[in-house]
Order: sequence, then structure tokens, then C-alpha cells
Amino acid sequence: MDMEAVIQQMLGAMVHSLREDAAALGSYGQQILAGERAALQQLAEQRLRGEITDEELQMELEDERLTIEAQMLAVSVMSKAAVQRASQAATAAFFNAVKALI
Amino acid sequence: MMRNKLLGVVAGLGLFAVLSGCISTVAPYDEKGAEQIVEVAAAVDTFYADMLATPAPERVYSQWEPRYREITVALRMLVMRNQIRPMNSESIAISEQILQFFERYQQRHKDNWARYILFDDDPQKLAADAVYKDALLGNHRQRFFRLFTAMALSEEAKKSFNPQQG
Repeated sequence: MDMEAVIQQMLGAMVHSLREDAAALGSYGQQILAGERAALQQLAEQRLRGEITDEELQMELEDERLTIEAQMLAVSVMSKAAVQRASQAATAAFFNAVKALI
Repeated sequence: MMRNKLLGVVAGLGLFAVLSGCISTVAPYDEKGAEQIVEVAAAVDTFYADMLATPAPERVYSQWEPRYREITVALRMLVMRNQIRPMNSESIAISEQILQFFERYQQRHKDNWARYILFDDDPQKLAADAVYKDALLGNHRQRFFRLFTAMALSEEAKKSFNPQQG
């Protein structure tokens, strides 16, 4: 059994899996930033137009902070799941290599 | 000698990979849960769209109360569904945050309506268009959309590695 080739296959599977998940993570990160930028701009304009009071602006800003925190939790799940999937991909590559020898 | 060491390291790595593949760090994907997220998100979005389409003086709190109650129950069930799954702390926290926002905005609507129906000479009286302002309705609708998206993406991320997809 050529263990070096097996390790290479496992690493390749991990990198491939991580690369796909990293792209999804990056895209969601951009989405979070764009959403936050739009929300803050909207709040500033609403206050300038007198559509909301100072007190309401304060409450909305606090809720924006909590919203960003919740979105970061989603990023955390996506990261953890990406690592888990990469290890599953490596395991699958290992088993496939062993199976090929049987 | 060197070759044996190398084989040992490689075998160890293989064993680690095998074991780590068996150890989960996130809850398993819940297909029904994912559908439930979209259903509740649609109910919340429709609620806000309907209220925005209603003229401000007609945003009578008591008329909206049954729908507030209905959506609160749906959100609580979403929190419960997340709570009964292991390794699911992030989704629990996101769903609890959504529920807290919804209950807080409902309470504010209720309080503001109580101030709107005060006598005209009462200094606490609110104008009709301040009961639930269009600007705030729009903000809250968008905020819920972003939070439900976060929860839906968290659920999608839990899908296991699919060998067919590579």
C-alpha cells in the first residue's frame, strides 16, 4: 500500500472540500457586510429626514449590534461544519484507498 | 528505521482522519427544521408586508394581536426544535434572538397604541403615524429577513460531506 499516495488523496479531498466551503463563507461574509452597510445608511437617512427620533435610533442601533452578533453565530456554524466536512472527505478518501486494495 | 517512523506517522494521521470523521462538532442536518425556518420566515415577512400596506391609523393593536400570538407560537416551536438537538448552541441563540425581537416589537406596538388612544390633551398621547412607524416596520422586516437567512444558512451548513459531490 502506497501510504504517501493515500495521504496525498486525503489531503486533496480535504483541500477540495475546504475550498468549496471557504467560497460559501466568503460570499456570506460579503452579504453580512452589505446588509449591515445598507441598514446603517438607512438609519442615518431616516434620522436626518426626521422619520425616527434619537431614542428610536439608539434602539435600532442596539438591535443592529445584536443582529450582527447573531449573523456571526451562523459564520461560526459554517466554519465548524466546513472542518467537519473536510475530515469526512479525508476519511472517505482513506476508505476508498483501502477498499481499492481489497 | 526512518521508514518505520514515517509509516507510524502516516498511520497515525490516517487513524486521526478516521476518528475525526466520526466526531461531530455541529448538529446533524435537519431537513424538516430547514423547511420550518422558511415557513416561519414567510409568516413573519407576510405579517410585516400586510402591516406596511395598512394605513398607519388602522394599525390597531388589538386587530393584529391574534397574528402576533400565532407567530410567537411558531417562533417558540422553532426555538424548541433547536433546543432538543445536541451541538446546536448557535442555532438556539439565533432563534432566541428572533423571538426576543418579535416580542419586543409587539410590546412596543401595544404600548404605543395605548398612548395613541389617550385623550387629545394628554401629553403622553402619540400621533397615529407613530404607533408603528413605516420606517421602523421596514427596518424590522429587513432585520428578520437577515436573521432568518442566518438561521437557514446555519442549517444548510450542517449537511454532511457527500461523496457524490466530491
